[in-house]
Amino acid sequence: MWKISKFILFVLSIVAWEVAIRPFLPSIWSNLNLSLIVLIIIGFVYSVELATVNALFFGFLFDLYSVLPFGTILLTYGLTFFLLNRLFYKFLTNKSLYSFIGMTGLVTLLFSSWQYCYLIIHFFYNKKEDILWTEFSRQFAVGFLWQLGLNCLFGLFFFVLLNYFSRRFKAVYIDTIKN
Amino acid sequence: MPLPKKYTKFSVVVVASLSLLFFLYWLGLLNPVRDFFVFLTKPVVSKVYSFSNWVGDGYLNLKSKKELSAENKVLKEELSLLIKEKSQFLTEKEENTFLRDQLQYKNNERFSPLIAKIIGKVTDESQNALIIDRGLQDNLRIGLPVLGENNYLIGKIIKVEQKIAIVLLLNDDLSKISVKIQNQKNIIGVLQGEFGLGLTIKMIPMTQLLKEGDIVVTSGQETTIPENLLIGQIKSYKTSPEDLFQEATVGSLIDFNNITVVNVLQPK
Repeated sequence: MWKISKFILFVLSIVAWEVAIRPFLPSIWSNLNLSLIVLIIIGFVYSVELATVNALFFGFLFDLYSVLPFGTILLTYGLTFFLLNRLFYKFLTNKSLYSFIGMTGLVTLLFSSWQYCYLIIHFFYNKKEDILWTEFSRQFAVGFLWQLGLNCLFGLFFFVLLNYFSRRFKAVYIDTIKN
Repeated sequence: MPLPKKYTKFSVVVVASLSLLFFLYWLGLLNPVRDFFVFLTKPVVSKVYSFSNWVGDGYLNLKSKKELSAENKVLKEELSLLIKEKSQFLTEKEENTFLRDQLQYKNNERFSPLIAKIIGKVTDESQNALIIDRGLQDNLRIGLPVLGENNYLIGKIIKVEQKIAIVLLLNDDLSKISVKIQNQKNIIGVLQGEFGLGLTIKMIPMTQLLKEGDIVVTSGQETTIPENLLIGQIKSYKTSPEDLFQEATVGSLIDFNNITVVNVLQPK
């Protein structure tokens, strides 16, 4: 029961952050994507599979508060963590700080790429003006760089914090042969 | 290195779950689930939004004391002008009432306001759009105008769900609304958002004379939006002799990042 309550509280906090706090933060800080960082931490501490399941659930919930057709955000989160799952087994084989930062950067890049694709389609569908595309792309690129920096910075902060309080972050090698 | 079996199994499960979700949505069977999750998350999101707004207000109050005193000076000057205008308005109102009585004019108010609370902003980052706590169950529909503080128009509804609706703000670059500039000629134009930063009216013929301070209101050309809803004032305008059209920047008194309660105008 305690576990379920903890999970509900956790999910509600993330949704509240994404809907009610993050969009209203001063421009630079609104680029911080806390839900991605949290999902990466789940992937690191528990398993990437669990992070993917959580990502799908978050995607579904964020879709409830979106203008775009149902499934857009769900697919964005799903595809990002689906690919991360693959990359995690192929390349990111340990739980070091470098691996964590690499994963954060990669997830931010993948997530922003999907996001850019659907937003540009959305713009094309609604307003066929070239100048809007270029201006939007410029703003998106700036936002992406900020997001990359902030996500890595906050990821680093959480990594150090969790490493201090928990043993789950200690560097180990994942044995991929036994599977 | 081959991928572990666990990964392949998991991938199949994920793809199957996603396909099932889309299929259920397509059949409309997912709607009760979505309503349940909105029901579950809405009160928390709403409370957190109010709290964050309260914190933000406190911070701004501290930060902007100097700005406020400068603004106060300007506002006092504007107030004295407005008092003069009010006196003129009252005289004209008296005349108007008399003439209406003479013509037995019927008050034909077509819209009634419905109060709604803002609970947050959309999560997809595609638009400057707010989420309100009213939806289909309150008979809201797409296109209805939404008013903010002092009955200024802030946007219109673009999406309606059972328990929530999404309001596209006027300053979004996908927002377009037919407006009228209240001066001697009542110029009609289209007000557009500028990347969430401001409002402009484009394609105003060069023959039309604009001046700073002209009031901008809705034109009433859209069926769901009544005319004369206040939007703002002309802040500045760009003209150059070689152009056929001029462009005006509109200033609104509304702080689009700090809206807590709105009025949705519904047809009676």
